[in-house]
Amino acid sequence: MMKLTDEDFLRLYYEPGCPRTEELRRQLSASPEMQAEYQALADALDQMKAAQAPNLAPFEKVEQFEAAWATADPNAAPWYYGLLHSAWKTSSVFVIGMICGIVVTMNAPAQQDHKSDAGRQPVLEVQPVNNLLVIEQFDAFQTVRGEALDMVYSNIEDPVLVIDSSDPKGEKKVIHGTSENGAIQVVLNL
Amino acid sequence: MQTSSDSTLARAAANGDQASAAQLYHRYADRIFAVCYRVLLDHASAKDGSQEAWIKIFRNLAHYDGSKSFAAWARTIAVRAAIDEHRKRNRRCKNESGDEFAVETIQQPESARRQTDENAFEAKVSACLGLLSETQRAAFTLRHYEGAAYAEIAQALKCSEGTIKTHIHRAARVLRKALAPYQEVIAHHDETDG
Repeated sequence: MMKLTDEDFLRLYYEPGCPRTEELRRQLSASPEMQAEYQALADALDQMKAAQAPNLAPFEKVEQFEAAWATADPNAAPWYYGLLHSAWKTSSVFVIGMICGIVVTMNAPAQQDHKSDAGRQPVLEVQPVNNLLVIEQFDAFQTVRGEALDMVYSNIEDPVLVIDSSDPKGEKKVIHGTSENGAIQVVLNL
Repeated sequence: MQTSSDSTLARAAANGDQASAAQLYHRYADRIFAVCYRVLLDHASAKDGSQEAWIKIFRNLAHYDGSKSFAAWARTIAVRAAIDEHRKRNRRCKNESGDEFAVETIQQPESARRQTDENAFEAKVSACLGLLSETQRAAFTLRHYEGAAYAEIAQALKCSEGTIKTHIHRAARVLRKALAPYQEVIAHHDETDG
């Protein structure tokens, strides 16, 4: 007769209904020695099963559920969302910075031109040797002075004709000058 | 009142329904804690282990397809969480002491201040279960207390069925030997009381 192994004993204990177990049971009943060995094992296992594990106290359960649910929260964004969000934010700031840098760099020469306008440097200057007529051309206006103008406006000292082309309705022509040795400012709209 | 099935509750909880999650929790809290307790043999560790298990359960509810029972699915997560907790605590013990006394920690569970039935469990079973390795305890717990099949235990503990059978045979042998003198003490104690 074959001796039953530990596996056989455990099959007898855990799987009482299966066909192989019936065969093992017949073998077991034929040997009092194996029967005693099996009984010792079954008693030990029964005793292990009889001892109940403790439970959490009701307040511990409430705490545990709330903590676990709050930590797990299936509605919360996944962990990589925060990472992507911060990466997107950083890259956006970088790109915006780059664009601003490019725009500022491209506009820098234009600003310098504007500054030179503010310094009233003429774009075109025509100055004959005998100062008969001196014409200075700026972006939006033109100034004309010289001996020819002094002759036409002899009652005005240092007359300067300003031709303003900035108004889309039409050019404005104004004579600036002084009289009475500079005591009176003269402006004549032509 | 009509009782919702575990699958229905799991689906609702996966969609963020806290009330359904609470129902599931209350159905299985004791069972999950018991699995963790039998692997960890200590109330505080089991509490931490079961909390980790529930976090994983709630996080993975969307992956629960209902092909096996919720209890089986959850206990697999619980036993893994318990093993992780045990290893974490062992590492902490080693780091703090510089040498290994994890087995001693297990064999002498924390509290003498718990309830009577818990003390009885600790006295009778913890001492015996403490003689097993963590994997033997996990395998034995799933087989003996949860009635899990070898295949399921193998899947849960990520090893072969043959290895699981060996773990359980060894565990049974150790427990039988360990409980033999203990049974005599209990018998003697019962006779004295009687």
